[in-house]
Amino acid sequence: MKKTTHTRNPQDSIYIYRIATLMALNLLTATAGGLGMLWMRQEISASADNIRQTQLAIADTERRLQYVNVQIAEATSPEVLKRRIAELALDLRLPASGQTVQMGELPAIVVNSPAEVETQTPALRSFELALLKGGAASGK
Amino acid sequence: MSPAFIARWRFALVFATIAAGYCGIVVQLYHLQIVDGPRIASLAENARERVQPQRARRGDISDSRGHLLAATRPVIELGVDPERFRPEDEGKLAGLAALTGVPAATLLELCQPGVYSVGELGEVRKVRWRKISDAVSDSTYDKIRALDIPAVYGNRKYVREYPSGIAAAHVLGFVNKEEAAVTGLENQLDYYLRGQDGWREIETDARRKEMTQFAKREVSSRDGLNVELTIDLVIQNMADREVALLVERYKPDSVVIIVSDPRNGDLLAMSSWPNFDPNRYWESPVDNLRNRAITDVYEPGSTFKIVPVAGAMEERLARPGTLVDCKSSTVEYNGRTVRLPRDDHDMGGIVPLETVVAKSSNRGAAQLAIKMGAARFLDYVYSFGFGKKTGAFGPAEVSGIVHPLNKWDGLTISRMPMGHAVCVTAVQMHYAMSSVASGGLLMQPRLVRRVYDRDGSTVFTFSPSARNRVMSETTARQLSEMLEKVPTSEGTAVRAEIKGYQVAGKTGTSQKIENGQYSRKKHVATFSGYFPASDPQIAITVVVDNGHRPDGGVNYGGFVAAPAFKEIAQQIIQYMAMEPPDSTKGGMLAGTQAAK
Repeated sequence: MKKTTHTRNPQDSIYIYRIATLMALNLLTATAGGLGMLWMRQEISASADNIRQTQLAIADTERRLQYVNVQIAEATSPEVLKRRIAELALDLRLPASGQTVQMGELPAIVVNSPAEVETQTPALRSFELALLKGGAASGK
Repeated sequence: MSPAFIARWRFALVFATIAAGYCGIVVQLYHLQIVDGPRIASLAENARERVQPQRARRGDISDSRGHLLAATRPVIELGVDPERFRPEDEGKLAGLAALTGVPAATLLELCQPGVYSVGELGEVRKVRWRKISDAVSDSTYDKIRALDIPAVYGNRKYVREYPSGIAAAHVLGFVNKEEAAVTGLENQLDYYLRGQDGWREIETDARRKEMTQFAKREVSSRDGLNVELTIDLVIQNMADREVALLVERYKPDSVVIIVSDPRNGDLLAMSSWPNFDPNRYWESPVDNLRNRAITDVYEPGSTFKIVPVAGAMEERLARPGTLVDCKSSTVEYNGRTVRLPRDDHDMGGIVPLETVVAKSSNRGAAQLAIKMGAARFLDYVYSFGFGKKTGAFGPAEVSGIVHPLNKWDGLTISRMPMGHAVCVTAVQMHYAMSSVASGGLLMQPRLVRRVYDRDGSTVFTFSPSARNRVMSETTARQLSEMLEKVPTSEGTAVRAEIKGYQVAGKTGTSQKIENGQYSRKKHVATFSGYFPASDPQIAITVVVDNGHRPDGGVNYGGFVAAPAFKEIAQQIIQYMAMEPPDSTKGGMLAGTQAAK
């Protein structure tokens, strides 16, 4: 049998290398692209999850705030306050009309001597004693 | 190497089997994809895709100072998914029972797997939710979660709450369990309060967990707007407390107290008994849900005398000092003799107009109306707002009864001026009296001050408005001066007097109609007034229906209603730090200077 010998054309080798390189690059790009897409989707998913979690957290905070608001409203309602006054035996009462002294503008202050003050009516006496200086109220 | 050899029949058999297999696969695929495809696709979609509703929160209702009167409270509806219930969790049910108040045996029953059928074909599905509790609080839910029973979980929902209980219950109304706004402002303002639900279209994984990245569409819910009322919770509480005292003292059929600011028509309090707690409205009889201030009519009695007096003065038929004949028992009118009603007190013959008002003369009031003539008098009745709804209280409000002229009988002209043959609501009477206080303007009752959003920005403001002018300012001032004499020793309501605060008002005591006749035992007692007369800031009306005095006496307005007026007025003076009018202001300081 006649034996044939093949000699490789260097030009062919270059093509083969080029094609192989291109294929490798294609594969690399496709793989990288695929992985990139996967990463991007994961990031989108993670971001969406984060946003949703934040939304839920805000909603939860608002809900708790509303809950607290209602509790405050209940705790400060007149009926509850009255009940608490009774429970704590505070004996708080509405002021009677005679307890309130109506005052217009403050007058020019004329302070009497302690002796003079003592002769005033109780309401006037308290008022003037408050204005006396230097322990006059204690009768010094 | 020789080629492989198999028998032809064997080859055909293998080939046919494989071909048949492939054919089977193709047929099955055809069935799945083409014949049954849409149904299966829809099942898969239904299992994966869900529309998640987003509930809008109903807006709050607050009083004029920001106290919450109605609020939407978030709660958790607790339930169990029997399919996820693990046998090892059975021991934890005792703890769950303690937290929820549901017996452990019932809980165990709820946790048992079950099925139910749906649709016309009776498709059988597993039970995935059974309700354990309608509403548990956040703190309780946290404790339940700590028990670590994965099958037990909650869904958030909103429930309507009225933190102040019975306060202004009739004004507020309530939202029922079907979330329908039934009565009161809840119903009237439902458009602003209810908000708009939203929804999200989402996809879930096999464990029914949302895959947020595949959320398709979202329409956000829009919470309801909040409403600020003119009601003041503290004044409302004063009125409620006084109502409770009147009920305890006189055991009446009903009581109404209305407090308002006559300058702008702002309603500060409206208390009505029998009442109800809107948080537990189902426990009260339906009759208690009625706001008697706007739904019940009564004959106003002498409080109605402001109409003939104001009318006569406005028509220049009378003025302060004009003498009115309270002696004659009959009078000629339109060519016939009209018998005049009797007076409860001895008026002493011919008396000045001021005495007619202060002593509440029936004959005097009738004489004034007769002078005016029926048509003009009726015009004033309508002008004061009687016989028509105020329009501020929604569909439940009634217009009262004022008969047109052609339905009047021979006695109406002499009876209506004293508050008989006419039926009014408490709110009509109150605003009629307030029109004297406001210088002759009949104000529109204002319950709502503004509508605002969650940021507090005003969306809509309800401004005060006058319905009509009833009388001139001069007439109003003169009438007011006459009404000032009523709560004095000269008048019928000395028990309403508050020294230094110029109380003006009018008592009313009307007999109730029983079996078509005026009852001698059943009365409606009224006092409607305001103060300080020189600069009216507060108007109060008290109506006590069929009270029973411990001493067996008549349920007179001056005896039963006037003290309640005084009590509330004194509390309001303290609460609002109201100064007495100029004539008495600064008494102490004046005294100090005088002493110098």
